[in-house]
Amino acid sequence: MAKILIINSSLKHAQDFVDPFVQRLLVHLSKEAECVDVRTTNSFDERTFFEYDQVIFAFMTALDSIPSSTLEVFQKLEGQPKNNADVYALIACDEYETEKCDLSQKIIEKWCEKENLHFRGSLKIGSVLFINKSASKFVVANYIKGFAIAILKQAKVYSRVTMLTENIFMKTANKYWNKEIKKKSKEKRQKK
Amino acid sequence: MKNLVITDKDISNQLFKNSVVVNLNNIHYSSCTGGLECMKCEGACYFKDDMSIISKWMNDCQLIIYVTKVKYGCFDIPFKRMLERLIVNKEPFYTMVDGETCHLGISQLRKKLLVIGYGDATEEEKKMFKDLLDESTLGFTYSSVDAYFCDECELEETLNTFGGVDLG
Repeated sequence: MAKILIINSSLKHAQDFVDPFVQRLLVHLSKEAECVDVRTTNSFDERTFFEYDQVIFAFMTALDSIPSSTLEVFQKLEGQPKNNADVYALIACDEYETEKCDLSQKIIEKWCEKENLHFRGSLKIGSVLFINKSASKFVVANYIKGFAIAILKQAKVYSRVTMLTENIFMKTANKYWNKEIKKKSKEKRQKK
Repeated sequence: MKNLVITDKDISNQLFKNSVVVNLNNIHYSSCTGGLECMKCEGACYFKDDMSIISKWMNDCQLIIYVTKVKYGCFDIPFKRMLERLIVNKEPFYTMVDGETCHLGISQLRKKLLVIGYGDATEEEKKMFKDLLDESTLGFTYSSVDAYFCDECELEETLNTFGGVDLG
C-alpha cells in the first residue's frame, strides 16, 4: 500500500483550472492507496516529502513551460531528504496541442535526474480551459483513470489527451473568450 | 524609444548605453496568479507595480536583451516570474501559426530578442532552453531570436563582447 502525494503546483489562480482533474485522480487513487495527500504550493511542507512513495506534480503551463510556482517547489526540495520516490506529472495547457506540455515534462525529468528521483511518466491534457465543457470530458475521465492505475502499479505511463478536433477547439475557445470579454465589460459598465 | 535590457544579476550600465537596464533584484513585481483575468480586460493587470511599465515598454522597443541564469533548461525563478506577467501582452483569442494554436502578441512592431544565459547548463539543457525560446516567441513578431550561453564566471567577459549591440 503506497503513500501518495499530489501537489497542485500551478500559479495561484490557475490551480482552479487543474483542480477538477486532481479531484478525479484522487478518487481513483484513494480506492487502493494507503493514503493520498493533496497539497497546493501553499499547504505543501517540503520536510515531509520523504514520507511518500509516489509524488504527482499537477500544474497548468505558464508561458509554454513549467510555472514559476513549480520551480519554487523544486527549489524548496533541493537539499531535503528524499525517499527515492517515483515522480509523475499531470500537465495541462490551454492550447489544443498537448505538445505544448513537452518542455515542462523535460524540465521535471531534468530535475528528477539531478535529485536522484525516478520520473515515471505523465498525463498531458490540452485545451484545459474548455475540455470539461465539451463531450471530451468523458474521454479525459478515462485517461485519468488509466493514469491512476499506472501510478498505483508504479508503472511507466506516457499519455496525452485533448479536445476531439482542432475545429471544435477553435470554435469553443474563441466563443469562450468572446463571452468572457463581454461579461467583464458589462460588469465594468455596471460598476460605473 | 530606448532598448531594454532585463537582467537577474548586477551588470554595468555602461555596457548598454542606448538601453534601459532593468535589474530584477532592484524592482518590485508580484507573481502572476494565472487566473487569466487580464485577458478578459484588454490586458489590464490586477497588479499595479513596476511590471506595468516594463510590459508596455516591451511592446514598443526594437531590441530586448535578457541576461538570465539557466537552470534545468529553463529561466531561473525571478526571470520566469517576470515573464509570466507578460501574458498581458497577448491576445486572448487563438490563432493558427505554423500549424499550431497560439495567442498572438498585441504588438505588431518587429523586434529582436537576444538572450544571454549563464550558469552550468549542459548541452541538453541549452537545447531545451532554445526550444523554450522558440515556443514562447511563437505568435510574437520577432525578426530574430538569438541565445548565447556562458558560465557565470565568464558573464562579464561575454557581456563586454555584446556591449554596444544596442547602438544598432
